[in-house]
Amino acid sequence: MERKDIFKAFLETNEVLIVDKNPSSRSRLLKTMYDLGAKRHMIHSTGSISEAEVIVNSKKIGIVLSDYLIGGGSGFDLFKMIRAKNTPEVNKNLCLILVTSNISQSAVAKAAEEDVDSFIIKPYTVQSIQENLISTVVGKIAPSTYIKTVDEGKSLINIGKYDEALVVLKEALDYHTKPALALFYIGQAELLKAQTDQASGSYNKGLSFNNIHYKCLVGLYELLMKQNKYAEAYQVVKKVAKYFPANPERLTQVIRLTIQTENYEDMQQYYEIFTQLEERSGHITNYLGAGMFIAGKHCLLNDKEAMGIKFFDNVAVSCSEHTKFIRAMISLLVEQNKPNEAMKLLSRFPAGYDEHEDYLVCDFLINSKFTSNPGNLVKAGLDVYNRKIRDYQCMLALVTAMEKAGLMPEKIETFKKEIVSLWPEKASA
Amino acid sequence: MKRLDGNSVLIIEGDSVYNHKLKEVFSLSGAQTFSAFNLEEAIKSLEIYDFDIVICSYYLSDGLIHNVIDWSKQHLQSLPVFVAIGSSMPGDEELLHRHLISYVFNKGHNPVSLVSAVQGFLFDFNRFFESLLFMVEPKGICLELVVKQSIFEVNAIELTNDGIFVSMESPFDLGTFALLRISIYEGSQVENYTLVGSLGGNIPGGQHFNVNESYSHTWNNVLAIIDKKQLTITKFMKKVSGI
Repeated sequence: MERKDIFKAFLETNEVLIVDKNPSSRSRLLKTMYDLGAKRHMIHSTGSISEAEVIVNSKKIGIVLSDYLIGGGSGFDLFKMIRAKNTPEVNKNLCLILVTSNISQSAVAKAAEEDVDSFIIKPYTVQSIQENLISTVVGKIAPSTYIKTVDEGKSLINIGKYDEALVVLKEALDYHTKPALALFYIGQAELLKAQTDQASGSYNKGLSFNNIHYKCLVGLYELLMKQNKYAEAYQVVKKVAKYFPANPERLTQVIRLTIQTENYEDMQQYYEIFTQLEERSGHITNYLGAGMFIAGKHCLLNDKEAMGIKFFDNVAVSCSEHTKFIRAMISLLVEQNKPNEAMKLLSRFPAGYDEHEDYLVCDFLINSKFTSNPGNLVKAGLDVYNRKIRDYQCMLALVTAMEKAGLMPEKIETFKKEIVSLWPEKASA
Repeated sequence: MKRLDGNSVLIIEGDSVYNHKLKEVFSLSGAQTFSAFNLEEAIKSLEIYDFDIVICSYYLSDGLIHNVIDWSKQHLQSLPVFVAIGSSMPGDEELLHRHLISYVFNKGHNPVSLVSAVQGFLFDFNRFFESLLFMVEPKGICLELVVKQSIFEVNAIELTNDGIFVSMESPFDLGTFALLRISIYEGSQVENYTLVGSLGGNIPGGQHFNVNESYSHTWNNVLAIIDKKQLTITKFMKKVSGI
């Protein structure tokens, strides 16, 4: 049977679902599917996930064409919902296709990570969409011997027959020149048999055939983390983050490992990944801010000032809603006697923060480096103090200013005592 | 005054005072502005520089605006947008568009208003930089259609041999002159293309944009880029899944 015939036969028994917010886009895709041989009554289209769900519940959908952003979520949310509703047997032949003009690296990587069957750029030509659909459907309906054998091995793993699975999967190795997928499942079976070293070997072998095989990379990373081999895990996850930057949860893990393994200078690379994320939650922004701050601090204290300042700038631009970072950076810069750099960061406070504790502390600390009249500084410091704000560096700067202004020693002593009682460790250091 | 930063403009006008005035106004708007006083000088500039827009008097001492356009069609791979200085009757509009003149500016009007008038034909680099500054980077393929001096953000749907289907809420009449601006973003890089053409048949909620034959070289470049990107993505997806 020719590829085109396989595709036509598939369309005769499977219904098509088109999900796109844009009616004209839906109507063109509908026409294309109709021209390719799908029957009109077997093509369904909608703009949202909720309506798509109703269709999925009542029809036998075999192909789903979805845009990246659709009503109620993303195409990936839709695919997840459909997969969750279907049995593994139905999912095996289901074709999930993203048709989108979002061709950012993170969108493509997410599609690869989410096991989307095909990614079609919009605008498409009728010819390109046709070739893509045929190739996807034929790959599913008439898989190669290699894929069939790997699927068999996978099914055996699912029912707990690990030894039988290993036999089948090792047979699959002969059917592909770069059998990374088979090696991943061999690794899985070995891991489930508690043969961690063998599993690690299989994942690595898979990666030697295909250095960006997603499943092998993630399998190896998770295994290394389980074994507490952080330095090695970091090297693996660094690669995952480079090729598959779309996953915010993984980015938090990468940032944590970067700091843990003291690869501070790599933070710039993760900052760039962060700026490309489609969605940035407060959680990931907080993680990035913390990671960049620690990395920046490390650079600053280790004679890499330019890099440290760059990291701080990044934090100030992208994490300005977390003013604690701006405060920490300014405090450090003032402590390191870099008031001009600190001054630049002060302007990064969001509008309306003039009375916020973080801003008042930063403003006073910077003033302490620029104001020559100690009397004025004491006045400003007391203003912060009287607002019940207690900050170690501020208090120290206030005491120093009081001494310079020639205030009575008894009055200054009260403040010194408060410093010792609030921060005994720092005060004794 | 509207800003035209990042764009390059060639002014071809025999009246040196008026030419200077226009150059001053466009330079103030941030555009890289060049002057030519006749056809010969204009061709010399066009041979060296890649202009986004050419503002040319109807009548030059050694030719007409049509000579500039014809020369550009024959010799330039990527055509700029052409704006004429002169005056036209409403009935001339179709004729002008057929000759690739996107707009006619009346010499009697304030030159500053010409900057506003042509802004819609050019890429707004400032908006792009602002986007970068706020880290809301535009993604993928973005399209803008300029029809009757109004800008419409449209979605790309389907490529055809002679143009593209785009989604558009308020369709215009068949044959209406239009400009299509395409920005293809990838990471922090962007490639921009401006195409002149007309609106073709309507589809529900959308319209076909017919690319003018003179812009076919640019159009083929766009098609080749999209094709290449599709190929790269498909390869990547296959490699990652290991199938």
